[in-house]
Amino acid sequence: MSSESITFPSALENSPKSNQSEAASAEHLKAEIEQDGATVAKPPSPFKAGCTGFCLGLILAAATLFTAPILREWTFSVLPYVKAAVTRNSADIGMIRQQMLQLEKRLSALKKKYNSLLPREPYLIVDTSENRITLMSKNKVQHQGICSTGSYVLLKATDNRQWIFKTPRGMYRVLGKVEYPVWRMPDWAFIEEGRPVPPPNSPERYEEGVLGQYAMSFGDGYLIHGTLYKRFLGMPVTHGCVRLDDEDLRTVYHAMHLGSKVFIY
Amino acid sequence: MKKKASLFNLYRGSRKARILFLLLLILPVLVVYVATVLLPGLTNPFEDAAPPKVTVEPKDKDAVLSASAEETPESKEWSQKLAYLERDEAFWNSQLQLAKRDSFNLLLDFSDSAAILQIKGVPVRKCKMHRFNIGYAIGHLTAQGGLNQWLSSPFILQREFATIPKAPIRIMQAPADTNEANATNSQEIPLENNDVHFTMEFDRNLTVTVEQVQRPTFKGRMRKALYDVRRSLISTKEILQSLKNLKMPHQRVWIEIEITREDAKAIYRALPQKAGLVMKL
Repeated sequence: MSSESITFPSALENSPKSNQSEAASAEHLKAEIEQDGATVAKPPSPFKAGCTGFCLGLILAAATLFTAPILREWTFSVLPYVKAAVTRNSADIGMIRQQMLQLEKRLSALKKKYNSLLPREPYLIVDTSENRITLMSKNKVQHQGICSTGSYVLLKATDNRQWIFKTPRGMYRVLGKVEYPVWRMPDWAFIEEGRPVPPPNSPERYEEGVLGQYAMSFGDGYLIHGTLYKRFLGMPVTHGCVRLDDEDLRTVYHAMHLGSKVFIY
Repeated sequence: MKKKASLFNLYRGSRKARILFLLLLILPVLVVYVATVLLPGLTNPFEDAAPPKVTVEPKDKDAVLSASAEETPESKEWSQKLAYLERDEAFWNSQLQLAKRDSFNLLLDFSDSAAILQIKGVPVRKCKMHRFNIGYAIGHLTAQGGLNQWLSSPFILQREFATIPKAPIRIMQAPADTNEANATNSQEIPLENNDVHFTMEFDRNLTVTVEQVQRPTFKGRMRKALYDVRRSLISTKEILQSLKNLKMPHQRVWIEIEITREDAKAIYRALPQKAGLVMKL
């Protein structure tokens, strides 16, 4: 027996019979179809239709809910502005002028206060995302260059110790300045190279010349120093310190004083 | 002859079925639309924002009405200048408050089309905004007279979503010996070229979306699609939460800016939790 989907004949739709009871309509339809021996079409059940409608409605409601912020934005675009009550006598120019004078005074005081918070002496900006430095003085760029900052490597040692090599962000101050610095290698420097860690005061820990000609500390053991690995400048490869090229280091070292600000982002 | 199946032809044989179908189809959509879209739009969407500040109290209602009626173009101009100065004052108040905080903050200067990253109020990176869109809600807030008050203190970051990680951490196991260490060292340093899109949700119903100017890669588009779905799911969850607590969902004041990928990455990575934001409109 072949099965086919049934559609309602258009004649039936237009017939006045279709306006009569649903049972009669269904009977008529059934009789027509049974002649061909095809599958008998049942009249649409209101319960089934309701369920289908409700399910589809729920899906559409979920879509509405999902896009509610966008729809609300559209609603805002068509809603008229609700104006607040007039709180100022706008016709009184004299009063407005007086208010403006007071406001201007307050504004200049605010700006003055804000300017007093800005650094007066040279300061260094370190951009860790692009590995660039900018030396600023009196809100003007004095010098720009490339640097190397933290690699964001998380080194895991076999003894469950771990270190993350990132340059700290925020505002710091130059806490110390050294010429011809000597590097005291911490434990991670040996672990990273697969070498055995020597005792704390072992001469093996001290290495000369690797930090360049100058170094400036800005707290927690972090330094701004030179490098032997100049090909890595501009890349995030350090253990947290800021490495500069020799020329840049010289300029920065001479411009910055103890207490000068270093902004790292 | 078969008729084309469509929504209009469904249940044509039975009027009762058809009515029931359409009614139950429309009803849930209508309920959700009214509860989550229409009512929050019609009621005050800035419930969380500070109430409008009244600068000068009118002497009496009649005086105000007569004054408004007599408003000349000259007085209107002065009023506008005063409003501009008031907005400027709101901005500088916020800026000063942020400068006193020991943290990173972001300044969105729409008059100069610039997004400026600041540390303790000191600008450290100025990024050009190639394009920006401000949601219609701002216009409603301005009309209600609450804009200056809304802008007069810094917005504090509550939550953020992005297509890139906050910190590009790479895990490295300590090498067993120097040979293994040399092999690790000879590996190339991975360069980050991911597309950057992020959303920051601040207090007082403010949402700032940052998009990159550069056309995203295929992989970037996929990541962006996931990020968009995640954002929508979170907002849907919030709406459901509001409805559950019988509260009206809030419409967020929405701002979208477009900057370069590099700027977007630098800003996203720099801004910490609870970062501040000031706006100059």
